[in-house]
Amino acid sequence: MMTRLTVNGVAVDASSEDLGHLRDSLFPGCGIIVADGKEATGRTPVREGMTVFFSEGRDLRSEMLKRDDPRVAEVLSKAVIGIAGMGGLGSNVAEMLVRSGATRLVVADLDTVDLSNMNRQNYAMRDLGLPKVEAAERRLREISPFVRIEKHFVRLTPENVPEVFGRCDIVVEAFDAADQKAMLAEAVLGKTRVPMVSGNGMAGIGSTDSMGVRRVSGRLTVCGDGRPDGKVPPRLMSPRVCACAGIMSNEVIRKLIEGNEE
Amino acid sequence: MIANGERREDPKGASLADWLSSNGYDSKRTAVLVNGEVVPKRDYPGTALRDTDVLEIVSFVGGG
Repeated sequence: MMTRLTVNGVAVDASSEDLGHLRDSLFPGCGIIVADGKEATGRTPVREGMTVFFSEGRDLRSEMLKRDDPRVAEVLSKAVIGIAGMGGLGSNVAEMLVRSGATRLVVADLDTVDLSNMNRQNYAMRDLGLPKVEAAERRLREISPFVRIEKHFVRLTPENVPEVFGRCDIVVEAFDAADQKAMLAEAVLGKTRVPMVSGNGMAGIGSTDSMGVRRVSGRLTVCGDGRPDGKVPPRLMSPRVCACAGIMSNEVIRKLIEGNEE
Repeated sequence: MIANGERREDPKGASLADWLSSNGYDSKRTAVLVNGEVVPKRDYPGTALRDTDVLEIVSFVGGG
């Protein structure tokens, strides 16, 4: 009995019953198997219409992180990373950290995905109307099967910040409103021992050479250009928002490695 | 007194609240560390600044 599959991008009519036999006939020696976006084994049964990918390599995760600085893969495999706000900054920081190897995120946002988010936030049209924390979980798990997200569909306050983020190794401040950013900085610095990386100033289309990294203290790093936009609400577009998110993600990684090396 | 790395005039016991206001800061959008410790907003009026203090003030702006 023949089954039509896609194997490493090519349509194949296979007679194998399981992926192990399929592998042995087409890609012998390839120990890593992904079927329909999920890790599979040799015993996984073949199904009509399945999309299969066989790869060499020691294991799925190390193959996925082959291009990482090994210190990064190591710290991110263990770190619990909090992200306050899953909008333009948070949704993009989350993706960058997960791609780099992060497996444990604690994310908080009380918002749902809206059309005006689409110009910069890391969501798709099919996510419209969903809580951002739910949409983010689905998207991030499509990128890495190793990620576990603890979701908080809540408004963060000075009272619940220690409870939500107290167990994190680092917190990313990714709110939109200036007074909320100030509130979070006070709550994290004043009521927890967790370091924080904040995004501050990424509006408009000015040159990104104005963006910087300011180490305010051993526990507070502020990234961005620090400039208010002329308009309310500020004009925010993907290039500079993602530039700031990239700077923040890199600072999270640097801080975690620094903490690991102490 | 040093604020954000720059030498400033002796505050002579002025409150942090007054100092921020006179220097154009909106205290609803700031995080302030005095000698490395964050000062909560409710303590801004009651915190008297000295010439030996080192301040770090972050002014947050909208967007994210």
